[in-house]
Amino acid sequence: MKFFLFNLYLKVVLLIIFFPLSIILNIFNLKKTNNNNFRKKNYKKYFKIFKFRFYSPLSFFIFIFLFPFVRLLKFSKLKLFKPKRINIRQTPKQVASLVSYRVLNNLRLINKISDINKTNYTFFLQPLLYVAKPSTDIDKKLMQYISHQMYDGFTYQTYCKEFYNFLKESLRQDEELGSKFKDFTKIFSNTNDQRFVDPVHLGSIGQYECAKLISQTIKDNEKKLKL
Amino acid sequence: MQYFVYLLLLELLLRILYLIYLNIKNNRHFLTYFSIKKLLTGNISANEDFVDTKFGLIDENKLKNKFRFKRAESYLNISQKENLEAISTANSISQKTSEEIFSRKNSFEQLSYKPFVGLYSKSNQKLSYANVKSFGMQYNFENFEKQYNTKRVIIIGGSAAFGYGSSNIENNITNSLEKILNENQETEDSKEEIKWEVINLAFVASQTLSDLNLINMYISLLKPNYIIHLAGYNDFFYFFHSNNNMNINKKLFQFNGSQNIINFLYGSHNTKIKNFLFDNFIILKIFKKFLFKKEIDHKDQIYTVF
Amino acid sequence: MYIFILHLEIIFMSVSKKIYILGISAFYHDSSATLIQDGKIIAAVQEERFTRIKFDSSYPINSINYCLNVANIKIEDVNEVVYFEKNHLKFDRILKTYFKYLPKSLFQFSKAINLWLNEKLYIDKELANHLKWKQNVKSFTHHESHAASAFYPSPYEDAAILTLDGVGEWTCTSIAYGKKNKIKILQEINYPDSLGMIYSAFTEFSGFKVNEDEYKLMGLAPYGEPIYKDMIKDKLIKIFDDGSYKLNLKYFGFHYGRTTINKNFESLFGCKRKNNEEIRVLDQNMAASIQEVLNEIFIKLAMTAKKITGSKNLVIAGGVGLNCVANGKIVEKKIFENIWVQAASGDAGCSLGCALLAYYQKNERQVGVTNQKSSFLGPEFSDVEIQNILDNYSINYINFKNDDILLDTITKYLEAGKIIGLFQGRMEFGPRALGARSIIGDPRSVDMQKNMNLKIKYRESFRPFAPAILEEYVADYFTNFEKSPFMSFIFKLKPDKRLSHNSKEISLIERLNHKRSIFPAVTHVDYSARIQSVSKEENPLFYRIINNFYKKTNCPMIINTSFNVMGEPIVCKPIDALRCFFSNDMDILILNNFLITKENQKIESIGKINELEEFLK
Repeated sequence: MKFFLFNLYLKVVLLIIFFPLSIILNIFNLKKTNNNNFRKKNYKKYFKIFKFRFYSPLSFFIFIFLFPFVRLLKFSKLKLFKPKRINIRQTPKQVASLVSYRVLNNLRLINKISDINKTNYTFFLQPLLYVAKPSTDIDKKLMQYISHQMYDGFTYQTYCKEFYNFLKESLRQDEELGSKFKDFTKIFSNTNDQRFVDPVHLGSIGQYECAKLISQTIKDNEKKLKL
Repeated sequence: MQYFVYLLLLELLLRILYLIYLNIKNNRHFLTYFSIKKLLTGNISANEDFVDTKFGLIDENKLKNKFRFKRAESYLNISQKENLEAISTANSISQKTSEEIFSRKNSFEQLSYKPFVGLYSKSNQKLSYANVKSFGMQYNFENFEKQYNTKRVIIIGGSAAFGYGSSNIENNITNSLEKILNENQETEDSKEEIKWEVINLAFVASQTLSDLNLINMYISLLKPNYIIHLAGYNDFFYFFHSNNNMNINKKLFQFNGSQNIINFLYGSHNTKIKNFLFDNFIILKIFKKFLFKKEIDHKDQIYTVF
Repeated sequence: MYIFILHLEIIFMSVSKKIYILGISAFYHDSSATLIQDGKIIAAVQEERFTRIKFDSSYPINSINYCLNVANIKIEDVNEVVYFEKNHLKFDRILKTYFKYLPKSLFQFSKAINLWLNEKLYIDKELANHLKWKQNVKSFTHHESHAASAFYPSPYEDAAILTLDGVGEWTCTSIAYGKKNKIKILQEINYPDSLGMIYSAFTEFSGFKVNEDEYKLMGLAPYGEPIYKDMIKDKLIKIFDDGSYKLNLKYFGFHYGRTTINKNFESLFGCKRKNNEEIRVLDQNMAASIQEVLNEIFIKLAMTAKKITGSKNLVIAGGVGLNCVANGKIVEKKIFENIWVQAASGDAGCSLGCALLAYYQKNERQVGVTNQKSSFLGPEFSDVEIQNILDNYSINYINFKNDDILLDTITKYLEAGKIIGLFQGRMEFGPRALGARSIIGDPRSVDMQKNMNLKIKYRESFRPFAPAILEEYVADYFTNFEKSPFMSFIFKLKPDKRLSHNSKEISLIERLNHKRSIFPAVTHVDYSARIQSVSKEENPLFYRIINNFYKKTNCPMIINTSFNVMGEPIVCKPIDALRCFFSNDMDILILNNFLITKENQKIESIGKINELEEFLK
């Protein structure tokens, strides 16, 4: 609110008072042509009023109009001494490794909770068109635009692929989760039928087939239990 | 004193004009209960007939003819025809059927805030692709307590695990899995048939941290035999896109719409009063719109000489 | 009795207090802090290295804390705190210039006034409050700080001082004379006639980022022809015989608006390039033209400086002093016998300058006391600290206890075409990497330039890399040699080292990829290179690496490029180096005596490195 009022006042003053004055002063200040442009300003001469130093009458004159607002605006929006937030630009490898690290920690915890409750846990890395090869023409159209969107010099597809690869590798190397991980990224890469409705989600047929593969895991485990 | 009365009259007049304008725009009848209520309270954009969806508040009226997948067209940069082609072929239905099924209120998930989890599915909504019952879960049993000779499977994950994209409830991932597990059971000797129950706790925009919290909340209640976790993309997606907003970058976990909720929960009293005033008084609304200009982010070249 | 009193006096003098002066540069372009003790530079560091924001202009709390920690003192032990420019004089300039150019400057005027009435008028007081400093904060003018940063650390008893930058308070260019401990500014050119501004204008026109990418424009110049030189001298800038100049403000916008150029400029030369477009022949020619104009002004100013000071030494500072091509031209013309350029030529060096000014105002000066050496004034990390960090993140490493074996290993990897990240000793003060935080490679390889660009920066660049060469051998390879420990000069390769080529390729990158010498990775299309001469006395850590390479391969130079993730400042701590190493395709990382490769690393460690530290506690 203060800034709004001040800005309004300033614009009025600038246009009505300063602008004509500056025109007048500019006319009087037409400088002569010299053979050089070296000028030395004397900054040692100034006069001090209310802890402000003025090095020329003109700046003092301008400041008189601003003076009423000095107290009002002082430290209204403290920005200078506030620390800036870190702007982390990240390469695909950095994004991949950091997100994988966080996901891995979460999955380990879920696994631990499942173990305590004697539940069998499996992580299925969901199918994604940005990473899997598009199997139909429609698939190609769906993923094409976003895959090639550039972020900091890398395509979105590069980020996705790097992340998926990193996550797969981390999971495979993990002692606890290695055997509880199934990669579903490319389960539809061999069919010629449409399974995806968009790069991430499946239609009813795709969901049914996905369920079939999941049930396979469950049934295999059931067999092991019987033995 | 008389100026105050003039102001009130002006406010009332502005409210009437604005209501007329809104109703014409939305093809609604002027004299409804809701309209009169708004006229008096002043909250013209009150959300009685708005539906809280993943994409924010959507006017219920607009949902009547709103095609659910419409938004995908702009961010995937495809035409409506291509969009419908993808949906209909993936579901083995005609394009016309697709348009019908994925329109109206029952194709937009309604969400509500659940601490430690985020914007979770609102309970008791029958969508065209999922039947969400109590606690925001999808299930077909009658007893929460696990019965004898029953085995349970919990599905957790994001929208793909939720069932989004399916044209009917019977063939979504939850019911498909239940059907497949329950059929073709090899009965050996005199062993009884095991009844399989599949419970789906997934919700759109879920990440592995919210999945962890959900499991923690419900595992002892539901006593599952298997946990199927179909996920991976959302963690990457929300981290990646949060980088564009520096304020969110540092958080370990941020969910879709989290900044709005945080602003509301932790907003100062002054901000809340200010927002209340601006929402309910048209005069102040106009005042705000025309006179308070937002700081424009100059992406042009700037050389700071001051 | 007398001897007893004499002894007491001697004891008293030896325990007399040390004089600490803290210099601060902040809130404009590049915040930094410097601590000097009795004229010696204890520490100097830029804030961006701590906050990881490039050209961070915020209050340099981390730099100040570092400076005080290194000397093991608190703020109460500091004798003076100095700020690098005179605030109110700057305000005077802002008021007067925006007033003069009304009504065009209306918007900027109100923006500036808002900012100044809110905070900037009270910087002196606020600095004292935030530092808990009970006395007054001293200040000198911007160009005095630049001049001091150039003169006092130089190895000269007296010198002509040339400072050139965008703008300080009023001064944009100044010629000063320094003798013993006194500096006197003799001539000044004031705002809005600014060399920095006109160069930034051309930077903006060519589609690069103003105030950050001026060095890219300098690197683009050799590709073009200076066909616009006469038009620039005719229409944009009038150059007088003594080197002073006057801008024709009709074509510029910085004095009233947000951008440096305006529509008149574009109607004269053409549309400005957008960032994602390809570089046009127009941009190349513009770059070459403005560089030629700048060279001319530099030479004339140097001659005037020589005339009015009569000194045989020249020192240069100010943002425009980072233009190595122009500096190289002054060397070529042999106007002065000796030239020295401040490593942190930009605003960061002002913190050093103002601290030194405050000291030498009251004290005598002995050449060599304020010796910047190779400008290694930032944080260093001990072997123990580094080992702790590596163990904390479960990184596999090899600890070389024998230095010779380490050097041989490095040479072997360089010969094999590997790209090595080097992290050793104290961090450099200034924008260039000088061997403490560098990425090194073999300059003889034809593919090295391409590989290095793709592996580290993930894009091809039209600029070659810079060589670091043993000081004794520079004269064998380059003409007009001058000591260049801070990569301040560009010299041309000697004719016998060049390879002729007929480059008919159209694209810049194709032209650069053509082999022009036996060191293709560091030679530009006009056979020039921005060299760093490495001296055994001043830069022993880096010298030993290059020397070992030379012994095995007879090549006395290696590629030296800055160690950072693209878009970020140079790495400061070991964790930054680890993050950079694992975020791109670099082959080897050396942290002091620890060698780290990409193989045999736990995949989880790599993720943990990138996690924000606050979440790992």
